[in-house]
Amino acid sequence: MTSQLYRIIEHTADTGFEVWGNTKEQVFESAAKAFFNIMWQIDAQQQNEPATIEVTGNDLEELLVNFLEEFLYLYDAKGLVCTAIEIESISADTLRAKVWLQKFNDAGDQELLGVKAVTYHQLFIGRKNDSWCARIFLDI
Amino acid sequence: MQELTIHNLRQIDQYRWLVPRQGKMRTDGMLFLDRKLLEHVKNDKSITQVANVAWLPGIVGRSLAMPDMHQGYGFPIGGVAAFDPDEGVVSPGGVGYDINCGVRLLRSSLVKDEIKDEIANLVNSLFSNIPSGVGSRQPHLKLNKKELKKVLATGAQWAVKNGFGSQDDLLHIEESGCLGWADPEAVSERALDRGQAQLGTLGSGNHFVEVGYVDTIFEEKIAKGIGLFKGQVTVIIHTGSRGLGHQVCGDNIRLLQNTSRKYHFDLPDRELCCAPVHSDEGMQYLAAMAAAANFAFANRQLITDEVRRTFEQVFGLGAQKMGLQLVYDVCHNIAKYETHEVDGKQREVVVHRKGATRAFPAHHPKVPAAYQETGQPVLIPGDMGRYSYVLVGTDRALKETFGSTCHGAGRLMSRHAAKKAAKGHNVTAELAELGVTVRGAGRATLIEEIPQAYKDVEDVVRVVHEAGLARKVARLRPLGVIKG
Repeated sequence: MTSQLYRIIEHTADTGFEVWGNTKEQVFESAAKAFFNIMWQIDAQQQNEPATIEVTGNDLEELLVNFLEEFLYLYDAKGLVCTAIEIESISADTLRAKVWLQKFNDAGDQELLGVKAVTYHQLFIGRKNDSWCARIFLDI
Repeated sequence: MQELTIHNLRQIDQYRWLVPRQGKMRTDGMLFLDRKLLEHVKNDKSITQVANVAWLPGIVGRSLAMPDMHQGYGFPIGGVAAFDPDEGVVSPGGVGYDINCGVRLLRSSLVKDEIKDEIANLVNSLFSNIPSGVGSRQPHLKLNKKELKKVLATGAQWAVKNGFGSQDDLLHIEESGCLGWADPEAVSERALDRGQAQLGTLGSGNHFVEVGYVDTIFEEKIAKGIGLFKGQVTVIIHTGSRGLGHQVCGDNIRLLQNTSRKYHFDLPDRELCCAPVHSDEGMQYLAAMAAAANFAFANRQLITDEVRRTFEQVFGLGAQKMGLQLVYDVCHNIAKYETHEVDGKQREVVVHRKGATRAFPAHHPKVPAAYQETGQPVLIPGDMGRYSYVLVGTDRALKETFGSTCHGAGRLMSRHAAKKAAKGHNVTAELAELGVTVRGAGRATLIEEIPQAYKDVEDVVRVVHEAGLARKVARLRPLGVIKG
């Protein structure tokens, strides 16, 4: 993953990022990848079978927050990190994605940033000109 | 009197700036800052956030900001606001994601010279005994959900009952380490899942355990009253409710997104979502928040026990013999029912403190017996290279800020700027030169938390002291730090 995938936005006590894409699905996928990049450095990707996650929300913004929060939950509660993702569908209130999960390995993997939560602070997801973009701030 | 362009800020005295009520604000804002701190604040959105808080229904008195104020989510960090329990609201944004993040201070009968040769050993032992880092888990404590719910119901009392500390510890914790209205059933399964393995862990970011010593005493009599003397070894513990609290906050922000529409609240920011205190949603949040707060009280109690054990292991003496007693434990991120005098009458309000510390004066009924003559001890941690302060609460704070004061130094640099500033520097070696031994779970955390990334806590403490929001008692210097 390269830094072109997303742009970090930082103020004194805030850390956020911006992502772009041609479609809504691309933006969600890029947001997840950016999030993984910010959170962890994974030593080796395992060849696991993918799992499916389903997230709901009342609007796109809520859907985006709940989607990223899902990965915080998987990490905190089950010690799982996500190494690859494919968005399957996004409807008005539901997102389905295929995710490749593996156990965080204390020996080789590294935690980069202690993210507490995904916030609604200056949250944005929508069209800008001909493409889609999203802006998300994290509570550290 | 002087007019400033930002929010028509009006200077009241050297340390007070009024944000006059305008637009949809229901009350004025008040900032406690000197000119130097005001310059920092102008660069972010925190003054707007103080004004935004004043929009919320049922706010009592002013929307307040402590001298360490900076931009937060919803409320500013350093924000304090009280609400009427009948007409007012409760807002998760007024507490924050790390519910009951807080600090506690331990004193000892040891002096600096007795431990200075063992500092490296002590820091390494603390680091291996106290799990730290983002997803840190406690390997020795296996809690099932039934037991975890007991923790959520009774907080530090659960810890003491299970052998982690003494009854005497409970007397020296804000609210005796337990918010009685907590309801574990209000906490989601997902929050329980996140918290289950994290009790007794430090976490990451700015959380730490610091061994230090008293290097200056400002008020001899009060210092003596709270058991502090020059050269004395002290320990500070800074952590909160870990993933469990983060999930409780997130869950409730999600629930309350719709509530604001339901109650026709006009809000300037989604992070300020709220519900009437007595509504089902408001009660649900308060019950879950209190449960998370209790988890944090228990967490700091368990870490205290680990600190005592580690001292015993390193120095071969009993913790009691080393006088490792709890001075006090305060919450930084909390909403609580408290009784305050408003317009000459005593009334119950729901005080939100987000990055602020309760600072009650001498003779206040909520101050423990041991501190009735001194006032409640307040601990203000600085960055890991410089110093921290011990203060006591004042009558003036009780009158002007619902008995609240600042909570720390506040960041000066973004994490990215800190990384840039630290480039080419060996942070650990440079801190060692300053006499501070540091161990961190991640190199990234150490770099982001370099002393230069923070304001000098002295600047904040000076304002607090001069403005009368707390009195300086002692200054502590670090000797060894473990970071998450």
